[in-house]
Amino acid sequence: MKMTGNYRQGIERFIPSPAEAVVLATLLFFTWYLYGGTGNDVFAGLSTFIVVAIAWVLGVAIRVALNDMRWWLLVIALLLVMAPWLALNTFQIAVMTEVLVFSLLLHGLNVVTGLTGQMSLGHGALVGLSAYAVAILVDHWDWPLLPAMAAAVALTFAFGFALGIPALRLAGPYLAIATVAAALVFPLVLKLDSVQDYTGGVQGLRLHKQPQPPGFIGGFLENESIAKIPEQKKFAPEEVQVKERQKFAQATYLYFLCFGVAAIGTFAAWNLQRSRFGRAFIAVRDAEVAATSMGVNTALYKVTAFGISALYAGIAGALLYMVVAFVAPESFDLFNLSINPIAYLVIGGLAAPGGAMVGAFGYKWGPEVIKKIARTDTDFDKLQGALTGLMLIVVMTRMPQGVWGSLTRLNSFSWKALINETKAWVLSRTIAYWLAIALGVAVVIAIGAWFAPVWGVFAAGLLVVAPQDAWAGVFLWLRSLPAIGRRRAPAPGDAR
Amino acid sequence: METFFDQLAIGASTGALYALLALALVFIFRATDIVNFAQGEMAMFNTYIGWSISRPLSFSWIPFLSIERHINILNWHPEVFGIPLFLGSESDGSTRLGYLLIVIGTVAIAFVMGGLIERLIIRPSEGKNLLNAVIVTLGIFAIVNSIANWRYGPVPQNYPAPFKGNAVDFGLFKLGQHSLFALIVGVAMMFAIYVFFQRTKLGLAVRAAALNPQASELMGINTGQMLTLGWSLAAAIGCLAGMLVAPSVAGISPNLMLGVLLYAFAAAVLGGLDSALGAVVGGLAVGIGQTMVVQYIGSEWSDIVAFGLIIGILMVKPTGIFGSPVVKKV
Amino acid sequence: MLEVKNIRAAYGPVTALHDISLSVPEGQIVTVLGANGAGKSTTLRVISGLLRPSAGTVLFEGRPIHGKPADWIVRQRICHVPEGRQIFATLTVEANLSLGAYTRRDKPGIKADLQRVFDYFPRLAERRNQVAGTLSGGEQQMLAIGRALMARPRLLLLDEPSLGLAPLVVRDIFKIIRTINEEDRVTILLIEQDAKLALSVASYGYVLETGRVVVNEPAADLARNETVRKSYLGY
Repeated sequence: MKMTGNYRQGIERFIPSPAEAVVLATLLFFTWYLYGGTGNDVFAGLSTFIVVAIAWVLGVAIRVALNDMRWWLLVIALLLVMAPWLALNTFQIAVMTEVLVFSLLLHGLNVVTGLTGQMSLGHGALVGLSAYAVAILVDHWDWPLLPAMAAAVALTFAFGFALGIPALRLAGPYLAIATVAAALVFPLVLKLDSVQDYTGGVQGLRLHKQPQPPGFIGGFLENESIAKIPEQKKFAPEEVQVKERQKFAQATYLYFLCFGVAAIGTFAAWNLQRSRFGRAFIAVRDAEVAATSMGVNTALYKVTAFGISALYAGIAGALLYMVVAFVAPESFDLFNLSINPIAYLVIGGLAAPGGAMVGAFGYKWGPEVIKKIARTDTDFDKLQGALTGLMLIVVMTRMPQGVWGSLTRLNSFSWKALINETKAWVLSRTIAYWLAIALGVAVVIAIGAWFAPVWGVFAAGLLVVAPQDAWAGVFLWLRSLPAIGRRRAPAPGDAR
Repeated sequence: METFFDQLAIGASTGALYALLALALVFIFRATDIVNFAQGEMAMFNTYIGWSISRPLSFSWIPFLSIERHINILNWHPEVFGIPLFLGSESDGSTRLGYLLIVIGTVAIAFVMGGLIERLIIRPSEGKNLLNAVIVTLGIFAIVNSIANWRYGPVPQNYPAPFKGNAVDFGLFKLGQHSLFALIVGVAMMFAIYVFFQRTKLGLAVRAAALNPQASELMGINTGQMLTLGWSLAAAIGCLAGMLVAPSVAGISPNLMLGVLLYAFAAAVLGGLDSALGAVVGGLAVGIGQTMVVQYIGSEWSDIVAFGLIIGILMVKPTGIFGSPVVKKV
Repeated sequence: MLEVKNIRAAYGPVTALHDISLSVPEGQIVTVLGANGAGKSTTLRVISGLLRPSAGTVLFEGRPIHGKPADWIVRQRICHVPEGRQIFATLTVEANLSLGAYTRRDKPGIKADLQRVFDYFPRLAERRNQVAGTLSGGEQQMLAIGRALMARPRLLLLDEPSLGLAPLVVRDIFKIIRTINEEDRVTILLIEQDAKLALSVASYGYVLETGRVVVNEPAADLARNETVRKSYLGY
């Protein structure tokens, strides 16, 4: 994806823009917590810092050469392929596998919500339908896993089409509530007495045999796993170590299976968006009446969007059952698989396959990292939801395009315009305003010295209410550090 | 047959509470086009605030504000309409706020909180994608729920109720005193809301600001203030509903309003999201329907029927029974 | 009474007004003419506070009012009848009119003004309890003007009152506009596509093109000015 727009020139090309800086900082933070935080392997943490540093240098070099931001995709793909080796243990591989599975779900949601503009909060029901279909076929009728998955996906696809027909009549919020209702009913139906023989009721269904890596791949993966055996098991008896290796091999195999499907799915989503279909979807979203009058069959496209979306959700559901090897009604509660995915999709960025990837990553890793921090402070654990909510609000109010949306605009970003805007903003306020701000900050510092949590509230409040330009102030200060950049003549077409 | 009428009365009482919360949803939807998923949680948190001010007062750490001591010394027993403002307990000598003061205090706090949420969180996300605003309300939901869990814990706490006595026998049916109280307050609130929006200038201005913000500004209406007022009112009404719900279930817990909110959604959609009358009718219908289903079919079916009903109604009438049709423009 | 000096205004990156200056003397009707997109409505939006100018000043009786919020400006009794009428479609005619008097507190005065609006527009009196969205275009325009009159304006900004109306209705409305000006001493700033009609009631005229004032002359001169008529007004 070649970025059109204005490219930064000269030395500025080597300075990460705010959005890039945010991504790099996030990457560093994650690696620090996942590696440094565990205390298992300091060198692993250090080496990841180095990996990220190299990625940055390489990335900048490639960006300078290509003059666009394809390097990000390269880095992401590379990191994804390397993920099982970068991961510290099998659990982290499993989480990464789920990231891939959820990226499929988010691609599907994106077709309905991002492209066609229909708010669906009930995709959890579709995922659940598919997962349960596989589970029942395997558990009840002893189907082999693969045909069962294919059948479940086909069923969900058909169901999605059927679902699209009533959805045609519903506008915005009504569709949202109807889909919420569907997502709520689904787990309740599973628990009804009359279907318990099939669904297993509250207990759920378990997959007894996950796919095993075929011989030579398994051997290769088991060899690769030596470094992954946890410290405390390094000196365990041989059979324990063998078991650990098999677990790693199994997890890595599943990871790459999902990687393949997710790669195809992402590529398809990308192409779909740029195709005639994608443009028609967007036309339906942006100007339904106009699209109709121009001969776009809006009904057909809306139903198709639901169908495609359900196809993705079905694939995600089937894979989820394969990966987790367990389904229960609790997995499909409203937040887990219906509302959270769409929230993270919007955080990642709507109407862009990259946004779905970023969203899936945040969806699985955000809570993990929060849990990790929580381990140091028991009370913090209870505030997990608050942190997630705060993140949602901050992204929605400060980056309404989502993370991906702000990333893709980063090359047309101009420090100069930012500085000018900041200056204008600063000058537009009276001295009394700044005095009041200074007074407020002084009060916070004074109280904060006495009662530490005030800081947290202050920081949170700043994130929520501070105008965007206040952030610019921070960058302005960074920029004023000596010798980072020189004045340059504005390039023609420079954003102002 | 007697159980039928009993259930009908209980259903009407529950329905009145659903209708209150549904009305709060309708206000916000009409003013800002936002479906406020955080409505129930805001109400739950405000109800908790009511709970914390209902506990025995201890102002001894503020030397000059020892209300407790003053009340005891002066033997002061103020009353409004026969309802005592302060309650003393002989057993441990503690003083509590009376129910009326708790309600007034809590509703006032809820009013301010609703306005603050609108100003600080909703305002910056307005005018962008509609989905963004909905996600923001989900964010508020998560924040409020987890703060309540952190601050008050998951264990249900007893909640004060003004009337706890035996059921009142009306001949045809019997109704618990609290349910009766909830029904009366609910109906009174609906009437008050009706009067506010239909008969007062301010209510008319709120409606106008929701209908056409730009034209309202040209009338001299400060539309920003009207939006804040709308959120404040919605929060206050929701809080009142929460305070009536808490004593009738096991007590107050962070998940207090989750179920109620879902039924309120059902009610609001049933009536049409932009219709206040629809919210009232929908609330009563859902409340009565729910008790009937529990009584005659089975409690595990009550949610399924409620949400199945939402979907079914929307299939037949896409904007609810009383909702105005959505007009699409080029 | 109203002095607009060198205002600039933009919608996002698009500059709509480059440099507009005009003045409206008390008690007169001043008209602003020009083609579509010349910036007529934008000028009114700046005056009534719906749009903040990026440069320039707007003085009302010598006091600056630019950049103030719209509801504050209404309280200075400057009333804007916007393009496309913008009535509250689901409220009744009476509710619409009482919203017009939102900034006022004097009940008897409001009642008298309501009666006067009904005198001007008897059609509205007949339909006072009807929902405004069901009125015809001409009646809606009457309602929009009546609603503005309810604030007892000192300066009335009228944006294309003839838009989409039958010629007979337009003539009635312009008759009333003149009455409002002469009998109620309301100063009027009028925007019109129909230049001939506008110049017949106005005492002074401005012609805008792409966000700039190109001609300003007394209305009588403007109506006679052959070149202006041909190149800008098109009749």
